Amino acid sequence: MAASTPAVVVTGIGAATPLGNSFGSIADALADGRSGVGRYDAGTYGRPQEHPAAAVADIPSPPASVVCLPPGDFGRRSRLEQLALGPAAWAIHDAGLELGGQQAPPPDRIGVIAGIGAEQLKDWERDYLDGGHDVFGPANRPTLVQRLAATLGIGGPSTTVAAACASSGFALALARSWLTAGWVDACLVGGCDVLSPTALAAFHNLRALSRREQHPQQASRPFDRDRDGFVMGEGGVFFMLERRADADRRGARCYGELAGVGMSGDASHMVTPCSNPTEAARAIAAALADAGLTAETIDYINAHAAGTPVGDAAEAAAIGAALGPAAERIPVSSTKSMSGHLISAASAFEAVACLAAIGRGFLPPTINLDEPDEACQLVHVPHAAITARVDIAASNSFGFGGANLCLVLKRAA
Amino acid sequence: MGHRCPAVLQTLAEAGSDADDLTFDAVVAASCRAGQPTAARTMVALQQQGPVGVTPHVVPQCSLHSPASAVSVGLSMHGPTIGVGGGPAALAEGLLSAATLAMSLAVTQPAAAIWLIVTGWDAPPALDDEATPTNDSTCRGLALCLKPLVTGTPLPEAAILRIDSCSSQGSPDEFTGDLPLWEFCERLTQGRATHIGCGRGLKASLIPGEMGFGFGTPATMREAA
Repeated sequence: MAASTPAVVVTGIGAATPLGNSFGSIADALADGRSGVGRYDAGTYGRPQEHPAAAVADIPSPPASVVCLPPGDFGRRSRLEQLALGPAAWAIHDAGLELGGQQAPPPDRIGVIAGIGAEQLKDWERDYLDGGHDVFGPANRPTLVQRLAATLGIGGPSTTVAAACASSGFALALARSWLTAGWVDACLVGGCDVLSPTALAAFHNLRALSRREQHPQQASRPFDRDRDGFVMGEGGVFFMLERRADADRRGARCYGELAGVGMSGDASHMVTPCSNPTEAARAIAAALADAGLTAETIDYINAHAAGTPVGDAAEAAAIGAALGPAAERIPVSSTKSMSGHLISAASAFEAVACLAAIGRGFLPPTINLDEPDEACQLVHVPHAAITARVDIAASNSFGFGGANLCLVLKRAA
Repeated sequence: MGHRCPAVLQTLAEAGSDADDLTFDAVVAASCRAGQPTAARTMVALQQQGPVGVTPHVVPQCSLHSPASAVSVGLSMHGPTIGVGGGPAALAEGLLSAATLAMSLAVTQPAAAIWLIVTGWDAPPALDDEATPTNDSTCRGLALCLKPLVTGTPLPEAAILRIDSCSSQGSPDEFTGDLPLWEFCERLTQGRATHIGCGRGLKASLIPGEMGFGFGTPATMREAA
């Protein structure tokens, strides 16, 4: 992004995650090194299907000040839709934007972007398990994003973005561009994903999931020598993004600036993580260049590291390749050790972790990191958080199919 | 790979030497529905066999970004790859997202192209209870090769994709976001400018250059579809 482009800041956060349903509760959980993983039975048709997984305990209903739903309406919506609508409405509330009010942009100048990787599969599955036949027919109903915008009364441009585990990160990248281009004056952006029997079975059969069913809280162990796969999670995280000048004009709180974005593609394999770090490193370097920063200025890196043998080692190599000698002093951790892997919502959740590090002054830990793998030579933050001033944080997201993304978040000056 | 992305290969051939270096090209795939037959077979397998019957192929075949990744893997494109849409407004979301990526790439990789691939059913599939197709469904694919206008000066022979503000009510010549792909393709082959609303207040316009949209004939369009 050119130096003359306007700064884009986060003015509102809404969440429903295994570690909490607000910025404050998530920050507390990360600072405490708390695990959100437990035993989860996705069983269908009377057959048990147990996995270590990170589920959301309670999804917050939207605040009535943002949207007034008929009694029981929220509970009747699909879990995936609840994980979008609840956090999205709370992000608007948190931003202090009264839609239709004098201080808020007109509804047609507000955009909506959500990272959702396989919305229809989840919808079809839910319907089929309930005895429906949508998956066999030609129905083509509006997307979750379109329904979300309609429910919230937002009329600007909207889109669903999918890039597997980097989906919500790409959503943030697009939202920033819409704002800097002046296409919208505010953008509700985030991602959501839900635990589902099909997804759990598919990734289990792919041998991508951890098999530590008996010890679920130790199952997610990024960078550890004994890691054996990732732990699937669910959640929804949404932000309100605005141009800095607009946020200042209405006296909005700024959690931080989305200062840089870097993107690349591995072009390697549809599912298997790429062991060659070249393209991931290019995304990291591009994000720094976009932010107009050098490697030396980075205070913390939130790694994608999901706990897969190939992916974690490749990321460690990519960080080294992108940052050079600076990588020998920059602390790196994977909050997936606590949250599990929120798939489409992972990038958004990890952006919250970076903003928590900036706002609260700590380095989130990688729990379960008992013996760092020699192939993952990094400055780790094992087991417990460390108090530190963080002004600039980078967050990596690498999706299967080779979608690489790095976000740079900065303390709002 | 060829059977997976004939529309891309056709467009590549028509772009000639301009499209020789694909290294940093980006791919945006806008699909209406992602992997419905595979999803249906998976639902049946889950019911009949339990979790062990769920194929890992459901991951790459039912994810919205899979067509984009398949093209990038097949043609070694190392730019960003994303899927967008997933519903009736896939075309509008694809045009908007491709234009968005073009803005980013204009700064970081000005020589790179953005490949926008839009797919849609002319006749949607109807499946029986075993997920076997019962009709002769047709899926259409369209690939557009977009390049950022780095200098800001439009080339007279080139077709242009623009994103503009518009009135909330839209204009008489503006289509809504759910314009069917077949109709969009017809307008392209006829060299007609097309304006599509992207929500209220924003529209995507495809405006032909001196050579129309660069498609040879309607026949090659059908061949590529």
